[in-house]
Amino acid sequence: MAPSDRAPAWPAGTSGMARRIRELDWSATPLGPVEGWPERLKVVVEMMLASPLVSTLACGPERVFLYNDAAGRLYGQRHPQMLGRPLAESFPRSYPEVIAFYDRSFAGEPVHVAAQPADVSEQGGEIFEAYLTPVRGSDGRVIAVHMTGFEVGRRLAADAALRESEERQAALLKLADALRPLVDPIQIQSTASRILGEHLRANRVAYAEDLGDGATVILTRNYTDGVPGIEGRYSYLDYGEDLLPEMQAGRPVIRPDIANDPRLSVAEKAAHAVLQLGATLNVPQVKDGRLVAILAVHYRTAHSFPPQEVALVQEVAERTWAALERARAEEAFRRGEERFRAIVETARDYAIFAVDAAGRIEAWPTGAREVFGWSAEEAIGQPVDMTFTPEDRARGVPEAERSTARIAGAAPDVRWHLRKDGSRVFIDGVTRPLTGPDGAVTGFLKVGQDVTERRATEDALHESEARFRQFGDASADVLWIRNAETLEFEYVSPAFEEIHGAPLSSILDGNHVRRWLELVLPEDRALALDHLRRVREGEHVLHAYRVLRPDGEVRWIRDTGFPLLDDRNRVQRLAGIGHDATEEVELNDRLRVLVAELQHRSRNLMSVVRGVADRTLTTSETLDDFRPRFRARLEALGRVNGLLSRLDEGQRITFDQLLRTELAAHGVLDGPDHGEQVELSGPAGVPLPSATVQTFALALHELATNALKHGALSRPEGRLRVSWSLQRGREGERRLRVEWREHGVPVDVPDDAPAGGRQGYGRVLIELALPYQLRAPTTYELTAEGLRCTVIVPVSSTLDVAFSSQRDAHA
Amino acid sequence: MPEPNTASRLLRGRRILVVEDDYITAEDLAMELASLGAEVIGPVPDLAGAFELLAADPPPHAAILDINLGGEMVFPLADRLRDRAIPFVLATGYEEWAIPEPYVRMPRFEKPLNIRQVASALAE
Repeated sequence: MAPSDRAPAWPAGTSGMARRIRELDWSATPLGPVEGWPERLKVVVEMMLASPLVSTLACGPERVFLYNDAAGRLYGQRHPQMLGRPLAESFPRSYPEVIAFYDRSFAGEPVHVAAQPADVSEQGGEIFEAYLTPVRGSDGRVIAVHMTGFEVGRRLAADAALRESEERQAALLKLADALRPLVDPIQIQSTASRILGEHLRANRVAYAEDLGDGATVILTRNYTDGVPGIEGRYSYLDYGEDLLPEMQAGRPVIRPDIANDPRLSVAEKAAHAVLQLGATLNVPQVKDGRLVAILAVHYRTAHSFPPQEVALVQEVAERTWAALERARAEEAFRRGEERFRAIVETARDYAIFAVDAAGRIEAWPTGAREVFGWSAEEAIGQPVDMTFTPEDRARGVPEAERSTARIAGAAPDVRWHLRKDGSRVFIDGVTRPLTGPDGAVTGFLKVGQDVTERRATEDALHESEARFRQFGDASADVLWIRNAETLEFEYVSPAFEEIHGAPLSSILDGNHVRRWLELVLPEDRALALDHLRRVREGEHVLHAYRVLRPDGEVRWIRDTGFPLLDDRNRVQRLAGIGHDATEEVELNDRLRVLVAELQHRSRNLMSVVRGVADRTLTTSETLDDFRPRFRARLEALGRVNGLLSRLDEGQRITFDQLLRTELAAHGVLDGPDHGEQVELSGPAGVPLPSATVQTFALALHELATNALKHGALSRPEGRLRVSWSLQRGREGERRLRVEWREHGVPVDVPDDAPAGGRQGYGRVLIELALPYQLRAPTTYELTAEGLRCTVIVPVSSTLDVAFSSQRDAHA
Repeated sequence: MPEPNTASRLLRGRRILVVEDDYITAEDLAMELASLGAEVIGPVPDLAGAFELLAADPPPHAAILDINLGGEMVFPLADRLRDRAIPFVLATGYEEWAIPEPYVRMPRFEKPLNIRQVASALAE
């Protein structure tokens, strides 16, 4: 054909392949020049070029290849040389696989080639899906085959990856579902092994725990399929020396083909063979830098363990570990919870319960039920205020308590509370706020002990103490209690202050023993201490010591000490009763003096009686003469001793008393100051020294006897006048002057006149005895009128006041 | 009164100071001492008189002292006698416990006196 004959260039279009087809010298191909191509073919070529899809044509028996731009991009480096060449030359590798499809299509059949691997590009490996469509000539014969194709390898790979991922996720979900309810570690391990084993179609999956000795691992459960279980202990070293270090570093150890693994020795291979290990994957669990567990996947024969499998096993190992941790934590929590519950539930005397922020009861364990009486059903949801007494509720105590707890972190709850039955229970407790994570108060925890009984005991104790104190306070004696060890006072009754004249603080400050001893007279201190020592040794001791009061007064303390024993009979305390015995001791002393005086006086009296008897005997002619005179003298002695014995302490016999007693005994006195013949005058109450009265009385007796017998009183016309007065001696001492004067009876020569060497006894006493004994100047003279005698005696010095008043009264 | 025989004149030639405040007792004692051959110095009722007699020459060989001389205690005289090594006895109505401690161990006779016991004590 001449170029001039050429129609406008075919095929039209600006695409690369349109241009190439236009420019190709088709006459050099089995198809021949374009002008000779059937019209139908040309139409298909145009459609091919217009298609955005990969589109090609294989024409004629030679299968000459035409393609569009989309296909050209796919064919890479082989494009554009492939244009116009037979298929067999363009695709030498995949041609044998695809030729059959083309043959079928040239035979008139539309063919669908699904996911056919084809080396369409230079790299190969694509997976191609294609539709082959026969193109018929006008005569009905197939002149070409049109192919529209899609590269589906990537989609397929993505689909496969998705499917695999879905399967993995499904397996993991299954694992999660299976593990969630499990709390037993062994069950968790075996379930995880089973699920993994089934998913991987492995022959054995085992979860093994490292024993921490750097050498061995223990395998308690394994999933098996077609191989025996291998529970037991194994040494890492038997399975390759890199196994342990690798796993300790956290890296999985993959052995896809043990039988041919060059890194394993013959012995190691043999050890694997015993366990029927063709391929193994060991995934370590390293926690806090320490190998803790291994998840092992075994195949009886070689297995390649692609990365996603390794990842899955790692994931399962991780989840299994997490499940084990959770189980262990739950177990620990459950145990802790049980213990806590046990504590709360068994604390019967303690009401431990919780209320919400509004004061409603939220938790009401056994202790609260026991203490308050409400059941949990009755109490929960109710205001806690019902446990308070009406008085406290009226005073707003429940709200105040919560408010205090809120502000101060704790509020004491120590008060009477109300029980369900209306009775009251004394609670010693505390209310604390419960706070949420944000620090807000979410409620209150109340912990309280029922101390009603203890309180009753304490009340009784207080009562008992009050009684004891009352007793001690009222006691006039000092009640005291000391600590046996330190000897410190534990109790001293208030009578101490009265008796010692010092405040209690004076012995209770500082060293008790020293302070107390300082009150004791120095000479009595050793004894007082000894007394304490003996009580401490368990003795009951009664002894007396003296204390010196700050006011200088000395007091006698008679102390009865006794030990107080503990239940093991050891002396725990010393106790005692200190009695102020001063008056008793003084009385005792006085009594001793009185007794001594009495002894003294009666013995002296015996001497006097003997003297009187001798004297009377020497002046008596006969016993008949002796008897009345001796008797009369004894009676006179008896009278004066009677007067003496009736005296009180410090009293003295007075002169007028002595005189009247003597005259009355002789029957010559009928009134206080006179008888018919007797006249007495002088002050009353002039005291005589006791030592003089006996001799004085005897002298008066002799004077009266003589007056009756021979003197003024022997006849009715006779008169006796006794007068006495007080005067001062030369040294100003007080003296009593007594004058005895008889008259009216002429004087005979009396018996008692000095005759024959015998003096009358009265005269002897007046003239000799009184001066001797009393240093009393005396006179004794017989006048024609009668006897006149004077005696001047000292007055007792003890009653100066009485003396003064008497003198004034009789001045 | 019958004349005592010579064997009973225990105190012959001995000067005995008698200190006794009761006249009757003193006279009685003096008579008894005299009957035993003693030369009685006194009797004297008080300390002042007793010291006076003690100062005389020759001094007494021995003394009989009442303890309570009308309320005045005889002990200063007893001390003086002891200092001068003149033997003496105390004559008293008091029991031992009523005697002050320093004088408890002095020779003592209770009233009424048994003159022969006293004489024996003073004869040596």
